[in-house]
Amino acid sequence: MSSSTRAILSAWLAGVTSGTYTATALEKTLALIEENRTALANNAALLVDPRGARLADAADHLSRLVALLIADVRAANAEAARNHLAALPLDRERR
Amino acid sequence: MSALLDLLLGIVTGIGGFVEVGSISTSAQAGAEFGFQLLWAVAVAAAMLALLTEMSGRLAVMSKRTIAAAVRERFGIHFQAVPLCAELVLDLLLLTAELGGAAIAVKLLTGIGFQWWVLPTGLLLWTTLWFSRFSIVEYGIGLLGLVTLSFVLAAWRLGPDTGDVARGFIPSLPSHDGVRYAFLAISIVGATVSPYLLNFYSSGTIEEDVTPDERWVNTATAYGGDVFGSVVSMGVLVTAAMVMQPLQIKIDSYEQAALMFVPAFGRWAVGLFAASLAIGCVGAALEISLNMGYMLSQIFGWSWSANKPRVENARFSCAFSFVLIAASALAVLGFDPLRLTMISVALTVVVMPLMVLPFLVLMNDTQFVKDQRNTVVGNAVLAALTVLGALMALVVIPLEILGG
Repeated sequence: MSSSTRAILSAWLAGVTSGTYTATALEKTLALIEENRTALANNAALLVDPRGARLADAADHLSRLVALLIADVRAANAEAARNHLAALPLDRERR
Repeated sequence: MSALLDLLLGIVTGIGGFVEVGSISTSAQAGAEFGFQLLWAVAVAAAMLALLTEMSGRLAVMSKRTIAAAVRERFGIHFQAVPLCAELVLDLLLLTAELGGAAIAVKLLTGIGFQWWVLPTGLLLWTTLWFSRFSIVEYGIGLLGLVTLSFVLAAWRLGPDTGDVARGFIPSLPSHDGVRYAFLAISIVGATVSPYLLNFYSSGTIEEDVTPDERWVNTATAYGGDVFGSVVSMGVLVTAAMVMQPLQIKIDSYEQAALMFVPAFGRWAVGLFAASLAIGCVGAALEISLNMGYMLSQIFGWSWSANKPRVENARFSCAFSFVLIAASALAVLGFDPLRLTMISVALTVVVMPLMVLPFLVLMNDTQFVKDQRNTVVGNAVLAALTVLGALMALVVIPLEILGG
């Protein structure tokens, strides 16, 4: 989901795709993340496990970031979108 | 000259039946998750479909009956009830997915929720079916379907390594996630060998009144059209493998899938993807609706033909209208078209033996095919398909749960 979000945003920031498409694709990504979060939240055994808990936290974080990115795209605020993009979980792992 | 023109149009419009929501989804997911490794599955599925299509055309030319009518006559309505119900349910699911796919294509361009586009799309389909002759549905939509060649153009522009692509045609075990690999391989077969294509093809042969002397046109169209169509499916797989796999993006939605065109087409990417998806889905939806009307009419003995005035085929016209309304109502409920597609292609594999086994009997019955019975090779292929279909049916449900 993180890679997908990055690819969708990068295409918009490069001026290749429209704001309409980008917002639509990010909304769908958010819906998919929410499904995963719900599945995690419904599994108590997984949440007790440290890896499961980390996954749930990462999904929470990603969900918030994607919501912020949707707002950035709707406002056509490329600078804010770049900042939020840099905070995506995979970026931090790479660093 | 007319036969040659028919042949050319038939081959070119082979895309119309081949490239639709099922083949786009399964090939794109296969490419994104396993690179070129599942190209062999597309090739095998295309060969299966070509053989079955040729046989369904031959049956229609020689017996002047469609598959549905011939099965009804040979085995009786009690036998046919099971495959008929199975195919109707499958076709309805697939039609719902096609309507959803076409509506999502419009959503990609407008940003307005796909459910809002389902009813206008359904109305467009119904209007086309109501006012068009068979040739318009088959050739018109097939020619528009040439836009899906953009998948092949994208793959070509991305310049894949020919050696890597060639190795994809040799079946090999995956380095990861074997269950998902098996599920996608079976789904590719299910998406390609859709039962509706066979009865639609045999009905079309009768609509066009193909004579035994013109049977070579049927054979060449079946093989040529399916090869042409499969090249587009391979284009989808290769493009997804080149673009999505390096980014580690699994395709969970059509919104994500549109990204695969970005490196090849830049600003045109989303528009071209939306056009390809919309036209592929609309073409398939027209064929499925028409086929459901054909099947019900042929089994219950009603008058049927897309070439006659609708008033002369009232029950046939009501049948395709009703299935379009039912599928539109289901699509408006908001089922995810991609998931619905994956479920319906898996179910296709489950019911495949029910469709192929009576076909095997018919293709050897001289009352129907006269002196054009299947050769040993043709029978071996059909028997293998039945056994393979039964085996796949046994494993596809567990795979759907574990790997879907």
